[in-house]
Amino acid sequence: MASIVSVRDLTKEYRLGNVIVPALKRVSLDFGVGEFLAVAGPSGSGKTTLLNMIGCVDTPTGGTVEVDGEQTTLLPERALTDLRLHKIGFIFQSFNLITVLTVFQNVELPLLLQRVGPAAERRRRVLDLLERVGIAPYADQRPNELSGGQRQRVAIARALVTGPKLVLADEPTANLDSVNGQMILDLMKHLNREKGTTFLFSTHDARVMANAEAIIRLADGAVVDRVSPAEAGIAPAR
Amino acid sequence: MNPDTFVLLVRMAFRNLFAARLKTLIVGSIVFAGAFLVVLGLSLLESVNDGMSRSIVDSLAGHIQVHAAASKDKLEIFGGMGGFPDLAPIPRFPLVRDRLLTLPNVKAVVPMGINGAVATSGNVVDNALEKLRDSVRRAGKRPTKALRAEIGARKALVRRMVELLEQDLLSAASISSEKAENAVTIANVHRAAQPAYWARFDDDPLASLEYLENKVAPAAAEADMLFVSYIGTDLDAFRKSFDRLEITDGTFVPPGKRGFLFAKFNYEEMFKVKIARRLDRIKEAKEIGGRTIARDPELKRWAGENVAQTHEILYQLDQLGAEAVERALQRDLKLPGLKLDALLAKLLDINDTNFAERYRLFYADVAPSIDLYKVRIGDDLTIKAVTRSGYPQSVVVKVYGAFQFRGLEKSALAGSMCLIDLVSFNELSGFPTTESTAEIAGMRKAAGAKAVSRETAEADLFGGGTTTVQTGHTGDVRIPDRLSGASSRRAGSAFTPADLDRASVLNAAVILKDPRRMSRTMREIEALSKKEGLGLKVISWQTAAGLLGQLVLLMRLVLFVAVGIIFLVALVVLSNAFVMATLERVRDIGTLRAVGARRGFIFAMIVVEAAVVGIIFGGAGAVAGGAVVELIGWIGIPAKSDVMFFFFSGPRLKPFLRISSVVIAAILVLIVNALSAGYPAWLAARITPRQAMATDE
Repeated sequence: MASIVSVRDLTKEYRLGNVIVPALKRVSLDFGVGEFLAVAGPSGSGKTTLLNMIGCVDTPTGGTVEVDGEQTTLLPERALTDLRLHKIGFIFQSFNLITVLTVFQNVELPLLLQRVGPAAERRRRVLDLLERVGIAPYADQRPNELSGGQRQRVAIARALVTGPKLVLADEPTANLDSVNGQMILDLMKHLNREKGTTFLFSTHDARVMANAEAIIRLADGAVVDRVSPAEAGIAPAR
Repeated sequence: MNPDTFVLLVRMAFRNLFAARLKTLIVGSIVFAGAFLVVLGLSLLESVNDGMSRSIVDSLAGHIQVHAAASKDKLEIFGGMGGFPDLAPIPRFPLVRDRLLTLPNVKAVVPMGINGAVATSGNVVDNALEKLRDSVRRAGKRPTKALRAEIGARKALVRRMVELLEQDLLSAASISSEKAENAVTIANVHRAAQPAYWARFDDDPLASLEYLENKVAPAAAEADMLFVSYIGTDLDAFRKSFDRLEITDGTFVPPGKRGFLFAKFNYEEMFKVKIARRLDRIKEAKEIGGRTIARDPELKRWAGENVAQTHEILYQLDQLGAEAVERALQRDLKLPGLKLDALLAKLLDINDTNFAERYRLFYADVAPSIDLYKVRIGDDLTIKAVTRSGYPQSVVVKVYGAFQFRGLEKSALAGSMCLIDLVSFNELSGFPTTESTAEIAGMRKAAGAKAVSRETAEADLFGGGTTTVQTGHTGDVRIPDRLSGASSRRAGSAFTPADLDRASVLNAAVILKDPRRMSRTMREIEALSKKEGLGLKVISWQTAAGLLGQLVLLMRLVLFVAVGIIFLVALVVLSNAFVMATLERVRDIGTLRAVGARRGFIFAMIVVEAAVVGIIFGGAGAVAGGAVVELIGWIGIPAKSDVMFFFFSGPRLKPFLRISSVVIAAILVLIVNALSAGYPAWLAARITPRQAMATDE
């Protein structure tokens, strides 16, 4: 299995006044293409920091991160932006949709940034994806007219519309009830299988972890182990 | 940028602005006000500038003025703080004129000189005495019955004048401090006012007249000395070049004649019988200014002065005239028993209801019997000036008429300068003229005077060398033509073109074919002057107009400061609003960065938003400003004072919209928007994608 993400001795320290707070301590990890992984751990264990490092939205204090063969720690800001645009999709805990744009426009936005043209081509891709996440009827509505679950579907569509190799989702179900949360996870799993997109999501909810192929457990900024749900004592979902 | 991305940015800008409607409205109204004021203010200012430049250029200055670079003072056409400028004559003016006319953009060069002096036409007492003397002379030893009646009427007028003069002097003395000096004059006048004096008048009428002329008339003289400012010029050239000039009374000075033309405004203001002038001004104030006698203290004061100063009219009426006016007023005012002085006071006691009728009656019943102007068209005017070398000089010129500049009829400034022929001007300034040179030569010959030069003075004065007899040109020695001081000369009434060419010229107006190329032509004249050693200083009409020319500059400065303040406030408010908007959207912007938007995209997003505000609200402001300008232009702003007539170059200012005002407004709005959006945009571009997840963990 080819590696999509390779993390070596990754260290991140935050400065709080005069105190240096370690968030990640020499973390080393490898994910394969097409994996569906959960990063689990209690609050403050470093889940979000790890995702930010991999997603090129934060720079490490030490160590290296390789995404799809690119040493991100060596890249300038602009190249990191382009890397995010072309290879990574983001799903946020609070959905982070642009409120002034319609559902369609939110999903179309990354394509515009990628300068995908013509408009008909973008339209086809956006509508196709909206269809697949089940919110095509809401294409012309604003995000604030939708329910939480619907909004997260829009966010998933936006993350996947460019066909990224890696999708990072930080607590994607934390703001949803369990029914909607499960539906989102099912959708992600479906897309993972169908497109072979690598998914890495963080959570501290055992029911969510149950959906993962493997769970990377973090504690105090260090990797404890990589286990299957069963090994973690969690019954696999469905 | 990809056009689709741009469309997205514009769409996002519109939606963001709509989402924050209230804030957008506040910010937008500031931009609107700024653009509105810039367009309106600039248009009005440009129109006033335009009007004023036309007033100055068309009335006296021309587009460019040249004068001798060697001059002590700066040229100020309308007179500066320190009176009239002391300018050296332009050397070889005819050559200068011919050379300037070779420049392609020069249409005409009009020679000029500016000065001011005291003018008299002989006062009313003088005039009455002159008429009486004439009657007495014609009567001789055996007067006819008719002549005797004429002498009687004229005597009665003089006697009335003397009586009125005595009253005036006594009332003046009661408020004067120069008691001793006045006492002699009052005593002289008092004597002539006695019945005894008139009883003996016919014993020796000529001696009696002499007493009146020498001892009494001078007491009435001072009131009739009036100051006139004038421009000495080649009158024909002046008329051709300043084509807004029109003759209102009399005629233009015939070519080759000496002559004087009153500026109509000045003539009315200074030389018209004051009562009539006040009536005219009240009429004008009521009709144009919409003022009323009841409400306006100035009009009320004028009306009061008229009632108190009926002497001015009584002075002028001999017995026959007085009777005629009395009869007419008794009839028209329906006051049969009343005497003339009471009738006049009654006539002039005006209010808003009776004014129109009284005004008509004044001109119908009183005016025909009196001289409405102290100097009549056709009279000789004696102008007394101090020459440049400091001795008094006086010249008598005929007044041919009065003129005004079309559209500037009501302007005191444009109507302040009278016109006089250049030759007489030269005499008044003490420049040698053909006539005076000949006269001096004659006197010199008669006195046996010789010109002595510094180098050979010793030999010439004390013998030893050959005697040099000066011929041809005047040397350093100037002999005042009459040693008694002021010389009053009945100058020849004509001059030749050669006289005109020889006359000294202090400054010259250059009229251009294309005024837009003024600065270029100024440079060309400077270059020409330098190359050919013409010794000219070249100034624009703005500079020549002195303070007046600076006024528009000042107004422009005030406007720019005002606009500057508005836009500074706008800048701060806009910048603040955009910073706030940015901070409110940190998560949105962070999200955009996370999904792959570059910094440039974020920067552009904020800038486009500011631009949309600028274009929509600034555009609306400019359109509204333009509409108001057009509306004002359609109605016109009426000139309510004489100064405004000058600024507006006519009775109404009709501003029109200029593309330049709109362009400047657009540029200002864009600059302000760019500046105000710059910082927030920079700030926004620095938001990290991590801030999109700020709510997490």
